[in-house]
Formats: sequence, C-alpha cells, structure tokens
Amino acid sequence: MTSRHPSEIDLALYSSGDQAMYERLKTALHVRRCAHCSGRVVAYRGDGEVVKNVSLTMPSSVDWERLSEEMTGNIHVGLAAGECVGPVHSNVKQVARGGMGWQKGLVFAGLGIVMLGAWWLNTASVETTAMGRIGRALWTGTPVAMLADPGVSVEASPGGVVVKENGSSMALTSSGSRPVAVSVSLQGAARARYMDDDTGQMTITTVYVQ
Amino acid sequence: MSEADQLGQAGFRPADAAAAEAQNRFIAENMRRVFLVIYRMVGNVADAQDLTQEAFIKALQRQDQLKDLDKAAQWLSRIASNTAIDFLRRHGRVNFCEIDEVAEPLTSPAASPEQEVLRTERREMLDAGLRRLTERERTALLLRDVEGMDAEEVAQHLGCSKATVRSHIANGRVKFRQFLERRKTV
Repeated sequence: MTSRHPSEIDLALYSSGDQAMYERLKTALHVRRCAHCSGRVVAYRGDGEVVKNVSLTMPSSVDWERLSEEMTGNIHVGLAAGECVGPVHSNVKQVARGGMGWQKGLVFAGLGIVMLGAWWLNTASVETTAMGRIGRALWTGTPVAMLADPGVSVEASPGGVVVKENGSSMALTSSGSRPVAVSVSLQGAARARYMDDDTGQMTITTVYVQ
Repeated sequence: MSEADQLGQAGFRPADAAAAEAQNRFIAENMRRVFLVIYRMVGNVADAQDLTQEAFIKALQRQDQLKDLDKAAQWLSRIASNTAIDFLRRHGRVNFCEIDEVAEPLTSPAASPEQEVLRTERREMLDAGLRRLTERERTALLLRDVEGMDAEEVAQHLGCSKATVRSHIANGRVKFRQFLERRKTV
C-alpha cells in the first residue's frame, strides 16, 4: 500500500476516469485500501451527478412556457429569414462568377485597346518607326544601325559621328578633344559629346536621320 | 418511420406538413436541454435565449452536414456548446451574478410547500456552488458531466490542451466539493 494519500486533484480526476494510465493505476491501488480516499472518490462521483442535475434544472426565475414559445417563434422567423436571404446570396455569387466575369473582362480589354491606340497615335512617327525597326531587328537579329534606311547608316564612335551612304561617308570629328560620351537614340539620331582638354568646354554633335 | 428518418426525408425544412411537424418536434424535444446547458455556461437568461435560438437556426440551416441522423441531438449539443463558447470568447467575461427575483410557481402537486421551499433552497445553493467556479472550470465541467464529452473532446471544444482541460475539470470538482462541505458545516 502506498502510504501517501493522493491529492484532492488526483482523486477528483480519478473519480471521473480522467487520470492518465499510470496515475490511474497508482490511485486505484491506494483507493482500494484507503477508506478515507475511497470516501472522497464516492463523494466526487456523487458531485458529478449533482452538477448534471443542477445544470439540467430550470432556474426559478425562468417562465419556461413563455420563453420556449418565444424562442420557437424566433427560430422559425430566423429560418424563414435565412430562406429569403439564401437565394439572394446565391444569385449574387452566380452573377459575380458567371454573369459579370466575362463582361468585366470585355470592358477592360476594350479600354486597354482604346488606350493603346490613343498612345500609338499620339506618339511621334519617328519613335514608332524606330520602335518598328527595333522590333524587326529583334525578330531578324540584324543590328539596329543597319536598319535606319537601306544603304544609310549612322555610327557614333569615340572618333566622332559618321554617316555612311552608298560607299561614301561623312564624319564629324573633334580633333584635340577628349570624347566623353557617344550615344544612338531611338529616333535614329547619333550624338557625340566632347570635352576640350585645354578650355574644359563641352561640344555636342548630334546627327538626325530622316 | 423513425423520427430520424422523418427528419432526414423532411430535411428539417418544412416543405410539407410532416416536415414542419418533424422540425417542431426536434425543436421542442431539445430546446430545454440546449437552453439549460447554454444558460449554465453564459450565466444569464437573456444571452442564453439568444444563443439557444442561434444554435437551433445554425443546426437547422446546416442539416446537410449531419451524416448520422440518430446523433442529431448530440450534433445539436455540439453546435450549442460551440455557440456558447464563441460567445464567451467574444465577450471575455460574462455576468454570473444575475439575481433571480421572481419566485418560481409551485408546480409539483405532490410536493408540500415546505418540501418545495427546501428543494428550491437546495437548488439555489447548488447553483451558487456552480457559479463559484471560473468560466473555464464550469464550462469544462458542464461539457464533461452534462454533455458526456471526454477530456480530449472538451479540449478540442475549448481550444486548449488535454492537460489544461484536466486541470479545469479537477479544479472545478474540488472547488464544488469544498463549497458543499463548507455549507454543511455552516
């Protein structure tokens, strides 16, 4: 026999079979031989029944007849309201999923086309031509400079800007100056910027191709 | 045809007279128990009334989820206790000090007025014992003793560990016992 009594917590849990396996065995061994603890377990079991009975007894202040009628009525009203609201919800879902879905898509696609057209029309023809050239270059893999016009090319190099046509070329150079930056724009223009070493003055040369 | 079959065929929805009757019977047979369990959990009649209605409406609207019709009452109890637990969570603490001023009419003809008074006194005393428990202890004890859930199910309902639920149940039992013993000695 285990000499120490289990705690009240253990006895309370044991009474309703809520103890873990090992603890339950230990408590059972003690309770079997201890009249005091056995009595406590019986009392706790009785309390469980008392709790159940008390819980299922109507409070004295409640007029159950009236209350149950009122609740039954309210439940029916709630269910009827739910029935009314239910189809509206499903219709809304249907419209959102099926009805409005493709319509919205169509509207947005139309707006997109209009905006793209407006932007294209308002963009300078030079830019659109250049973009067309870039598109073609990307498609064919040909360098952009060669597509400015068949037989005409513009090059920007550290030496200056050179225009070539039918085998002849014209170069704009700035001797004695240090090239700072050269660039080719989408519009078909070539630009070279030079800085004079002595004076520090900047010279910008831009050649536009039309 | 069993009641469960009738409820199932009727789908609780009063499409016809039989279904309406089955629905009414389902409400009448379970309302008292559901109301009382919720009342013990939330501690006042007004909230218990609202939550009972809410539980029945939920149950009857979701009857498609009910697989085993024989367990309709048990299923309803789960919905009811969940509804009450959600309410307790939303409101943090509820008022357990509602004072019953109106005396209950003496309904039992077999009991003498003295017996009835004693019975009422005892009931009120036990009621007070339950109110001494914390919200969690009382809820755990109600779900365990009245709804017949095991500790694991109670833990799932309350959203806490099994060990915590065991602790709530044990503390509730010990406190209730101590209350009764103190009352005896007074």
